[in-house]
Amino acid sequence: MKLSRDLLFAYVDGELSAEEARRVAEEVAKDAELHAYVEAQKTLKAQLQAAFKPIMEAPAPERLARAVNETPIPESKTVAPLAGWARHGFLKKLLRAPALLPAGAMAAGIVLGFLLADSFGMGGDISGQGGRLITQGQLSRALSNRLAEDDASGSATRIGVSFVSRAGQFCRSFETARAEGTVAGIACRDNALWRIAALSSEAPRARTEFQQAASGMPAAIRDALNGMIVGNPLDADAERAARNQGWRAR
Amino acid sequence: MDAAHAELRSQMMALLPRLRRFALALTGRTAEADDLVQDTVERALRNLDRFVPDTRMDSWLFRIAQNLWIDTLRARKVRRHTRNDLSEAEQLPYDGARAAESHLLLSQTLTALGALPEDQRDVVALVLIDGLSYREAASILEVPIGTVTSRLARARDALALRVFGGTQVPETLQ
Repeated sequence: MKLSRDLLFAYVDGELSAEEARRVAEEVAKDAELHAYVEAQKTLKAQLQAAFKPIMEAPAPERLARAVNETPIPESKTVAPLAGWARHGFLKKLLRAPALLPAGAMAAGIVLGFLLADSFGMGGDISGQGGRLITQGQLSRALSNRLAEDDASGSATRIGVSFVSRAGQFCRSFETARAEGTVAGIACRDNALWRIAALSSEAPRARTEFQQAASGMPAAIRDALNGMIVGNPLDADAERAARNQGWRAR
Repeated sequence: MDAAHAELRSQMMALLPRLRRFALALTGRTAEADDLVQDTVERALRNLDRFVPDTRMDSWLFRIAQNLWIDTLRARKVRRHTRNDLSEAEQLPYDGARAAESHLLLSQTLTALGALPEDQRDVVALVLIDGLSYREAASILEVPIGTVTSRLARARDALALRVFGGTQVPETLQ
């Protein structure tokens, strides 16, 4: 039997069948050097496990027990809203165009219902145009002008992170407060418009001052962002430069 | 429905120690590890409809934790090597002579893990520390098994170097 390092590691990790393990053990027993090597690998593994023993034996902190017992489990989130939306022609188109809304975000509870109520009317932040959702009004202005570092108190919209998407466009995450609740989303600059790439009405999580903008995002938006982003989010200088040149794709 | 939820919560509670250990191996700090565990638990429960009943909850939670940790690293632009300090010593809630001993071993181990590239640390945490099979680790990390074994081999060499000052690879294996 030809021994290799990988075979010995598989042996140490219990990956071999009983028959294979027996044959390896025989070979190893014949050779002191091999035996020492295998023992060292076993010791390494045992030592790693021993090092973490205190945390395995410690009682879990109260806040974790609370998270397990008290985090609300939503009722099935995906089915009900869809029936209502599908009546709208452009929404049917939207739902057939997976590129517009990440599938994961959809499953995680994107709710467009109350946004659309006034999108078809006047003065909403978001409207449909040629089968796409675009921003308008104060949301558009905030996306175009506001830097993440600017003081946003008094504004309905908060800008989160700015980044470059795989499509090479500038995109920004936002939260905008509405009478019905806060909506979070991602908008990407597309032909001088801010096109909505993801939208969620799931409440953003409370954020401490130590956390970055991204950590307060609803999971659906963070998932969408992670699927879109290339490299790291823009830093303050890059964000300013992008704004000053009108968020034109590079 | 409620009974089913209660059962899932109790399964999750039983997995907390392993989840904390995994998170500590990834993050290197207890406070950060517990933040990660809390985020993981909350996200899992909010998305419980995505958990396939009768599949392994441990793998599902590890995958969520690992993805969240990648998000955190990306969002904070954390670079691995900034982590390798020993300030962990002040954060751990252990005291007493025996505890201090195991505590030192943990500090040293976290330092050694911290020196590994992120992708190797994931594999070490799952296979060497948690004892999962190569197949389970590959499924959690969504990589081929060959990737798990090659990362593991590199990580073993690096850890052996730190822990034992290196191991002599027998001639028959070279």
